[in-house]
This record gives sequence, C-alpha cells and structure tokens, in this order.
Amino acid sequence: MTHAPPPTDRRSALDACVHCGLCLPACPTYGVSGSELDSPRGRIDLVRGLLDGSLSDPTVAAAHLDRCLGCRACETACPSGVRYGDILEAGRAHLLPSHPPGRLTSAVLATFASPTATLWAMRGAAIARGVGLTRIASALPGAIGAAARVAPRSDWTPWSWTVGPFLPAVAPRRGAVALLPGCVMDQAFPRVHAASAALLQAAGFDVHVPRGPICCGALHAHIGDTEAAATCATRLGDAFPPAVDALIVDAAGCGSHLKQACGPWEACPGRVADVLEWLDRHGLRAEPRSIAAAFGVAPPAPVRVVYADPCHLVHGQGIRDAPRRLLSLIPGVELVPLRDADRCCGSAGVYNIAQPDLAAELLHRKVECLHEASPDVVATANPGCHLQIAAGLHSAHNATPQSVKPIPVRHVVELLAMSILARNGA
Amino acid sequence: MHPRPESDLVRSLRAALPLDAVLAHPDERRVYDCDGQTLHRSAADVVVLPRTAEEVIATMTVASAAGAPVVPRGAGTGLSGGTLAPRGGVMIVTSRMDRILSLDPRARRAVVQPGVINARLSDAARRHGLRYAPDPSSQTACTIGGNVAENSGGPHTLRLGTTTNHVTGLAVVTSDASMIRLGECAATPTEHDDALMGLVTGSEGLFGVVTEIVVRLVPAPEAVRTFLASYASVPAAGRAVSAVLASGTLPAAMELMDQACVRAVEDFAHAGFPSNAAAVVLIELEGATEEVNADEPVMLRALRGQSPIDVRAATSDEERGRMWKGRKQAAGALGRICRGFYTHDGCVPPSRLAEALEGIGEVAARNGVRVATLAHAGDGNIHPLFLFDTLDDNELRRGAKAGREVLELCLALGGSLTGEHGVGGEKRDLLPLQYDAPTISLFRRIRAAFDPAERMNPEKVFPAAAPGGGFAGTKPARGWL
Repeated sequence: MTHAPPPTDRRSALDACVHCGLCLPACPTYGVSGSELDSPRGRIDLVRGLLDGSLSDPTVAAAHLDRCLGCRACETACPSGVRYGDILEAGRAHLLPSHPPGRLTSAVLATFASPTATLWAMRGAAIARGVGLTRIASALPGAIGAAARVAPRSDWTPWSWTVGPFLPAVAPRRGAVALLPGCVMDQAFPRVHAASAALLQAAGFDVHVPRGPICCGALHAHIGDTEAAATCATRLGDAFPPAVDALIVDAAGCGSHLKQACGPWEACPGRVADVLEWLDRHGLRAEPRSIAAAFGVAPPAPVRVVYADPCHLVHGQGIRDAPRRLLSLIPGVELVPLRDADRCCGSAGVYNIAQPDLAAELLHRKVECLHEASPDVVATANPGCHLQIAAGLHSAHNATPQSVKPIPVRHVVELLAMSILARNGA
Repeated sequence: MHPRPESDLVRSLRAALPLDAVLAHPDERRVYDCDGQTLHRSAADVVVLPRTAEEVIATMTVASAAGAPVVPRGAGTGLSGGTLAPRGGVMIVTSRMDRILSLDPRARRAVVQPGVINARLSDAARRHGLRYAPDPSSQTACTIGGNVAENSGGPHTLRLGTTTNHVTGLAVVTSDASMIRLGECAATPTEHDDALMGLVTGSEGLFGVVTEIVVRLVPAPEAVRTFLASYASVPAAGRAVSAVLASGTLPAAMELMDQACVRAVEDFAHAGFPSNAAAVVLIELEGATEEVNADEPVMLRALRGQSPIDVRAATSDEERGRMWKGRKQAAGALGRICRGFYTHDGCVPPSRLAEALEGIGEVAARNGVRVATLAHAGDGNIHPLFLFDTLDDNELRRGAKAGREVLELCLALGGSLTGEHGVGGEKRDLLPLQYDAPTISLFRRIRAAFDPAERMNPEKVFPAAAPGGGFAGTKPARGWL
C-alpha cells in the first residue's frame, strides 16, 4: 500500500546495484563508523541476504539496518539509479515481525498514527514543559533524554483549528491549494504553517486547511510498518479536498513520502509539492524587504544565512536550488556556503530517539560546520532537522556561553514571510 | 550472536585489538567478500578495521603467529578481484585510517593514512592552490592506500604520471609485522628508497600493508580548457586521438566514450553529450595560459581532420564539471541499461587505438555479447565493458571469453594485460601471455624477499601452480555482476 514496491520490483531494485562503491563517502553512518556494514553497499548486501535467506542470523542485519538514517544521500551519489530507500524499507518490513522497534519508538509511532493521541500527546508535552518536566528529562541519559532534548514547544490548540478550513488568496487569484497540517507540525510549528499559508495567499492561491493533526505515515513506512503507513494514507486521502491544484507540504520528510506513496493515494503523487518548490515555480508576487532588524544586524552589513539541506528535500525530492534561490531574493541576505550542507544532522525521523549515540555524533559534526560558517541565522525546511539543529546549537551555546554565540534556526518560509509581510521579530 | 565458538585466530585478534575492530560473524564478513569486480566472491575468516599503524602491526603479529593469509583492502572499488580472500585468513580494511596527518603547501607534500579518500586529499590541497594529480574515476570513493597498491592512474595522468610518480614516502608493514620506512617516511632516506617505493607501488598488496604515505602535490594549472568532439564512428574517434598525440600537443587528459556509455550517462549526469554520435572524445588542455593558447589551434586542427560531427568547448566551470561527472560515472551509470556488466582493462600503443576499438567490436559480435567502451585514450588504456541482460552461466562464459580475446588483441597490438586495474585474481592466469618464464620467476623471487611464506594476498597476480587457477577457491557471484 505504501511505496515499498512489489517483490519483483524489489528484486530489480537490488540488481541495479553494480557494487561500484561510489555511495560509500556519501553515507553519514559510514563516515562515522568506517565499517561497510554501516554503508549503503553493505546494507544492500544484507537486505539481499535477508530476502534470499542466506544470512545465518538476521540480528546482525537488523542492527545495521537500524543504524541507517534513511537520508538517501546514497541515492544522489549513485550513478546506477539504485532506489536505496525502497530496498531499505523492504528489508525493514521483512524484519519487522521478528525485530520490532524499541518501546519508545513504537510508542511515538503509535501516537502519531492516531489524531486524538497526537493531539493529547502534544498537549501533554506543553504541560510537561510548563511545569519543568522537559528540562528534568533532558538531563537523563539514553532515549528519553534524547527525546526530551529535541522535544518541540507545543501549543494547546492545533494551528489548523485556529485558521481553517479556508484562507482566501490576497492577490489576483491563480488557483487553490491544500496545506498539510501534519502531526507534530500542527501544534509545534504554527509559525511555519502560518508563514506558508501567508506566502501562498500572497502569491494568489486559496489555501484549504484540512483539520489536523493528520500524520502522513512517513515515519511508519521508514521503519517498515507498511500497514500503519497505509492507514495514515487512507485518512489523509479522505481529508484532502478534491478540487485543489496541489497538496502543499512544508515538512520535507512528509513531502518526500507522499510524493512516492501510492495505493489509495494513486491520484496524488503528481500533485504533492513542497512549499518551497511551489513558491519557486510560481513566484512570490510580492516585494521582499530586508529582515536585518529581526536579527539585530545593522545594514549595510548583510544578514548571513546558511541553508542546511533537509535530506528528504535534497536527496528525497531532488530539491537543492529552489530554497537557495528564494533566500537570495531577500534584500541584504548573504547566503553563506555551508560545508557538508547536504549531510544528515542525525535527526532522521525518530532516529535521534532510536540511535541517540550516532545521532549525537552526526549532530556534533553538523554544529561544527555551522560554527565554521558562523551565520546570523540557520535556515532549513523540515521540523526534524529544525529541532535537532536548534538543540545542537543551543547546547553548544550553553556549554560555553562566552565564546559560542546563540544562532537561531528558522524554516525558509519563516524568513520569506518575515521579509514579505515586513514583520519583525519571530 | 556467534553461531560457533570462535577460532584461536579470532580470539587472539580480539585480545590484541579494540572491541569494534574485529568482525568475525559470517553475516558481517560477507559484505567484504568482493570489491567492484563482483564476478567472484570469497570472504576472509575475520575482518579487521584498524585505526592506527600500531593496530596493523598487532594484527600482522597475530596473523604471522597463526600462519594466516592476510588480504589488505581499502574502499573495495577495485576491479580485478584483488581483495578477495580465496584462502580465508585475515582481511585488513583501512577505511578507518582516514586522517590527513599533515599538509605542507610550501613543500607541496601531504602525509596521509592509507584510508584517506583520493578526492578528499585533492579537496584539502585545492584550498592551497594545489592538487593531487592521479584521479581515477572512482576518486570520490577510492583510497590513497588502494591507489598505491594498484599504481592507479586516471584521466589526468596522461600528462602528470600515475601514482608512482607522486609517492615520495611510504611506511609498509610486512608479513612478519615489521615496519619498513622508505623515502620521506624514513628518518634517513637512502638512494635505494626510490627503487623500493617503485616496487611497492603497484604491488597489489603482495609485499605488505601500507600504513603511511607521503605524496607530492602539484600546483593547480593557470588555464584549463575542456573540449568535446563527437564522431560518427568509433575508429574515427580513435584516429582523432592518435592525430592529436601525433600533432605534438600533450593534453592533460583525452577520454573516449562510445554511444552506449554516452546514452547511459546522459540520463544521470546531463553532461550534454550528443547521443547520436558513435563516440565522443573529451579533451582537456591545461598549463600556462600561453602554452594552452598555442596548443589549442593545433589540437583542434587534429580533431577536425577526422571529420567530427561536432567539436565544442565547455563555456563555464559548471559545464566542465558536468562533462567530467559524465565521464567519471559512466561505468556506474551502465547499471541503468543492463542487469550487469563486466569491466575489462587493457592497453595498446595510442597509435593503434583505432585498430583496438574496431577489434573490440568484432570480439563482441563474435561472442554474441553487448559491449560499451570507455578509454583513457591518450594512454591507449581501454575499458570494454561487456553488458549482460540475463545472468545465466552461458552469458557469463561468453563475456569472460570475450574479455580474454580483447586482452589477446591488446598484446597482439603491442600493448599490455592491464592499464590500471591490476592483475588481481582476475588475470593471474594470463600473466604468461605477457611475461616469459624467467621474468615471472624473477618476480617470484622479489616477492619472496618481502614475504617468503607468500601469506600476503595469496592467489593473486602470479599464475596458479595448477592450470584452471584464476578464481579457484572463490564462489560465483550471488545476484549481480
């Protein structure tokens, strides 16, 4: 039901690999461990072994497939066009009955699969933060601590309830779109949704906002739980207003998944677009203004912005230039190059909860690159990366507040909205 | 986790090395059972991932005491089966020895561990206006240690020479676990060191494990110009290459790709290669601006003399980058048009390139296999890739036979068995076609001087004692080629 291909396709997906090894340096986990078991080529071999029954102990394969981020940087590097993401999900689906994910991961995924559970979990998180529980949990070792450190601030009421179900175009009308409220995003990133909606309205699009929270099922598909992913897809299909030009997604992970999902979603893949892709294609239709004041920069000094590519935008959807082009439209913005900009920060869905050590090492490397670039603000386009990078920058600043300045993180749409709506602060 | 009690060898290695440096489970070892040449596979009994030269010495000490074979491996991008372990034993993988120990822009030297990726070294050098010249097509993944073992070339070695011309120091751990320091790795280099480094470079892991390398860096050229010429026939493209060389200009690189390669790669790299041409030649001039200005018209005249369909120059760095990406990833991109392929490697004198290319077409037709050809044409180094649509034994046999016939053709034209992929396990039985018995016997005595027990990378390079060696002791490929 999801984009895990039928068995014959899976076979040919495996056969497309010619074992050239050009994927190795692109793989973040291979970069950390130096072991081919933690590389795309090695994992493809393990999945082959799982499917043809030639492994002696699936536990070994399970451990190394679990350590895969699913960032799909190997797909960008692969000259043969191997669909690694499909192979990974096939391997994980094969392992799921015998090797279920950890309890915390399962709990998180079960929560997102149910709108009511998501609503109350996010409300619970809001209370926990209010009474200081999150702060206490952050100090804990292991998965709970890791989860608490990246836990978003969340609102009591989902954003979609406060604005939905319809926001009209505020410029000459060019069409109608629906904006995916998502699960975590709806309560944790109302600012991002509000910015996306405002930019779309300003660009001449009516914006339909289905009532959230609605999970797209990406996280479930990534761990191989095709059944839960299919349930999510059906629910999303029912909520999707039929008469729109596109379903706009402002979370890269969700967009990447939905672009490939089929089954009840058959009509949709061609109609799913990332908000940045859509705005880049159709134009902003508004005059961007300086955002210097919001970041305490005195012109003519530029606002130094780095863009950290979300894996599921650059590798999953092949969108590399659109966000950069949009950011360059803002007067006074200097787009500073970021070393390894398209290398995973370790967030990767629920990876930072399931593999806290590897995720922490990858985050450490990302923060190092960010400090090298020393920007006024970090721009990204996915909630997981947003939370992970913000947590990394925050703890680096807290460790040595004198020498390391705090660097804010924003979704690209937040910076654009700030510029177009001439709003200051964020 | 471990199905059987571990062997003494594995237990000794675990005692001598960090916990995560030893992989002994069969499901762990299997991902190391071949390199980029996947026709045959065989796994070592234990895989070791050292981080330091001390850990390499510790591993060699244990292997030596156990009398176990040792197979060195870098990134596993090799194409002659040089990292298979047909007699089991210990595989030493250098991927974790990936530090650039120092880079001195004034002395134009870098000291690296063997697991440093070729392109990473070039990136580090570029910040100082320098580069590391050997640039094999796998340079984004392959390691400097592997390059030393194979004496790797690459498009730009036409003008600047292969790995051996750029290595100025080596530290090698031999099979008795002693370390030899040569050239700029030695405290007091001697006049013999250059000769010894020349021996070790290209020795395909037969003499020891390289643990430290000093390389020469060269200044980035003042001017670079890249051209693409397309031809209506493969031999015409071959004649154009010979004509350029005969004209007296020496381009930095001269690469040839036939139509099958061009079509596969266009889909991936969007390099702007014309898909209607039977073959394209990618040429790069570099050097001082004056020199390049003088060479350009001479070279263009030579190219135009063979009636090209089109000759064009890259107009931006971006376009140049796309052209090179197209060339370097051509082999990998063939995975898009066939289920598997077998990459071959041979050399002919550049003046006989057209004959060789014509001959490859005939060999393929005679054996009923499809072929796609790449060539570092300026060096006369040809890479016919035999494509497979099915993976039945019959087709594999035909491909192997065609490969052998191509190498015989290269030798008949006055060329050699391998340009850069090495002999490995793949061509060991063909060695007598190129060298007579006394020469091979001399090679054996040189090997024995380094490794009397022949424990280093056994069943490679030298022909099997009994006929039918080749990949004896290995198993056929599992799924892909």
